[in-house]
Amino acid sequence: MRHGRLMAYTGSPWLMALIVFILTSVYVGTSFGGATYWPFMDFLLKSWPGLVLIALLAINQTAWSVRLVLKRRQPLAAEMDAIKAMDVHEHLPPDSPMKDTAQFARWLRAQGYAPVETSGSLWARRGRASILPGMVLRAGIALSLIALVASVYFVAAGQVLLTSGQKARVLGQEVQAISIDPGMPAEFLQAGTNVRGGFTLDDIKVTLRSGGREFTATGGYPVRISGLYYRIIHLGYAQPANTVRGQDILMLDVLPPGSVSTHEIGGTGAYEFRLAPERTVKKGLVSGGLYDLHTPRYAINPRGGKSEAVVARSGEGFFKLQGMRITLGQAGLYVRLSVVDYPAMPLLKLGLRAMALGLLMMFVRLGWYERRFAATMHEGRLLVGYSEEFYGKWGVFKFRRWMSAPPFTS
Amino acid sequence: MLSSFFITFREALQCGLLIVLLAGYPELRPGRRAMYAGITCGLALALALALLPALSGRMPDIGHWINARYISECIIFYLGAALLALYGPEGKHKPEPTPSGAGLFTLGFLLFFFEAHSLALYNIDLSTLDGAAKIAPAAAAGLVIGLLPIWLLEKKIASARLERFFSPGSLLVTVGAIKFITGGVPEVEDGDILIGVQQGLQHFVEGSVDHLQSLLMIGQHPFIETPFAGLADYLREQRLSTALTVAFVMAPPLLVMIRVFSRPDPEVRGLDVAAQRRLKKAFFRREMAFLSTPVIVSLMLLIVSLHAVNASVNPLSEPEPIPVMESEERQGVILISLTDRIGDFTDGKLRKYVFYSGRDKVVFLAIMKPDGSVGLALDECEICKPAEWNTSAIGYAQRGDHLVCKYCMSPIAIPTVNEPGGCNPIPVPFAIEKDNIALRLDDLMRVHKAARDMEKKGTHF
Repeated sequence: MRHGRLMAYTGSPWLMALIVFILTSVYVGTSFGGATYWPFMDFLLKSWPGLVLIALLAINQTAWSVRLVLKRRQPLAAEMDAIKAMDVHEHLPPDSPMKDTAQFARWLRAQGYAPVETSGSLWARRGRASILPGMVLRAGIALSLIALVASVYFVAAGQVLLTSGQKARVLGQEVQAISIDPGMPAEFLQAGTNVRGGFTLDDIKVTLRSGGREFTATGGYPVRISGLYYRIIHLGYAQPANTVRGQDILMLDVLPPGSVSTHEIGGTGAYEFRLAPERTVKKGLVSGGLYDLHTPRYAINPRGGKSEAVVARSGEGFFKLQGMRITLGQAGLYVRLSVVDYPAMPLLKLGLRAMALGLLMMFVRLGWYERRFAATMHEGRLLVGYSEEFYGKWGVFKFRRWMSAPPFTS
Repeated sequence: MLSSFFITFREALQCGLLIVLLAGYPELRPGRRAMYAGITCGLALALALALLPALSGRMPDIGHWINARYISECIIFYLGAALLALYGPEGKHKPEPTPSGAGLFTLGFLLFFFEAHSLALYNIDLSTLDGAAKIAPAAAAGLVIGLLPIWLLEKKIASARLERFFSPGSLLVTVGAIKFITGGVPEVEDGDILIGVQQGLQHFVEGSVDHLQSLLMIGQHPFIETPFAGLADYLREQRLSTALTVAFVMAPPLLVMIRVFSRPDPEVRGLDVAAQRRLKKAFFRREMAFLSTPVIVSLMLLIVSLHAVNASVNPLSEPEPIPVMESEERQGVILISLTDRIGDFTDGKLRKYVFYSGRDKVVFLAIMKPDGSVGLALDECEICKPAEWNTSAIGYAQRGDHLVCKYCMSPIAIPTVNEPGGCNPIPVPFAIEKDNIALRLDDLMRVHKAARDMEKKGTHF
């Protein structure tokens, strides 16, 4: 009994409503209409009250499913009081052709039910497994909550910037970039000047070697190798610049065209780099720049300088800037990789997929739900009761139609 | 003095009518004195709490109070729904319980406490101008007269048999809905609970989408295509938070309606006389009509309120064009500062400018996009050309995070300004020089002339 009460409380939808209410109140109470999502998440995931609430919610979702399973496994009560508490019941008249439970059981079988007879009474139920969509959804919620907490406490992240051929060590693993394929077109036409719209790379790839294996990381879904997740999170030009003081490799952040990247060259002042168009192209009302993305041209000027920018192409010749001779080598590419040790990711994906599946499955509940019959003999006549999980009103109408027609009336 | 009287009277009357409604309900009538005690305590405490900062010379922080009021109104609104969900339609479960004295005291307290606090703040402010000797009596008179309906109408309402129209749950939902619409003192509080709910949900949705992307390691990038980026952008827009706000507001009244209409017709097979069967069904249907009328009225009021909120959250905003001229320092160039006396471009608001060249009037717009870059274009598109007399349909206005063509009402995402084609405004080349937009006159006039040539060719629809 005590266990039953504990299950009833912990698996109650009202507990979920209470937890959601507390969380909403915390969010509202601290928001003042401003953006407080991340502080709220810090409360939820990094403070003990928040963790208690999450744990309670996860336990609640699990207990809810267990409670429903136990409830559906229990036989229905077919006593008189229980039948009278159903959505609708009828005490058949003395002249009804339906005289006893055996006849009623035959009628139930014809309707597709499997009646269970128990000492003068019987009950029947259909749609017992209809709690499945809800169980899948609740399982997804519980798994996602656990994964959410794990994503805070059991994750290690790092970033590494690699040019082609370069090696680096991140999160205890050595990784080398074998080749970078940006999937960039040779030329890019941009409408207007100093704008950033329209430039998108959807096929960027880098071939990496780590732990003796070669694999490809992209800018899309992360790839998991030896327990670590790899993903490209940025791309730019690795531009060698030679001066009398030596060679600098400038990691130019000049994509998309219009972006400005500021760097020191030869230990001197900062210079602003931006991509310079090959020529201006007019298309209808619009004119814009045509950019060579494979062998880029740069407009370079000292930061804060008032003079016009020097234009130089990578790999060609030299130029002078503020009295300093600078030679640009052949530009390569660099990628910035995000490397994450994230053991909770499979659990999170499983949880989210279960939630999505459960939500989709909920649509079948429109037609798939529990229907219950119970009957017993009372004063020599059959007392029949009927309940439906949903659409009680139409269940009542259906029952009355049955009771008004043969074999319940002559 | 008059404004003190009228505003206090108005708020007290709103509260008074709600109290009359509650006190007239049979199941609540025996506990009505507890409700009156709650109102009185709420009034006294509100006045005391409003006076405290005034006496100590500190400014009151109204933000906390507004949030607390929102929470209390939501509690009242959803408590009704909770009662309906717990206790089900008549005959199926236990009847809804009679509220306790403590519950009614709390209800009375919540109904007027926050408005009383705001009224007290308002009157304290007024009294610093006109003197407490004038304001206090006016406010007291407004309060007493506004609460008079409680005494005048209480018995009459009791005889109206409100149980025909409400269950306790549906009564609370109706009171909650009315509080949503009338809650707060607009002269003191800037905001509406539905706007607050929508903005709060918007921030939560934006944060959740960002969080989910970072959890799944598919965070967005300015130019690297990431999975589900389009879906994420779609979810971040206001439509999801608006839909959730609508669901939040509509759920309890709809629950009431479902409870009312899910009751099956009465059993009439046992009645031999057809007229008796019809009479029984007619009574039942009339009872359903009575029960559903207040909630339908509440639903209509909430729909109007939601529409007003949507309009206020997303008004169509169109600034007057500011005349600009060629720069004195740079010939042939128009310089527009990104920060000027009318504000900073980083506010993301649409700005319009007009340049006069002889008889030509060139109107163009500029706006800062979410990524920090600037969009600049003519205030017209290649497709739409309303008639010259239809001046209100010419050009673009801003609604939230979109520009809207006033002629065809197409929404244009602000990040796409500067991209040509479709219903986008015709882009004009420009440059950013330090903190200025540098627009060459040649470019502006060339694009303007090309647009006029296109118009003559008839490519505008």
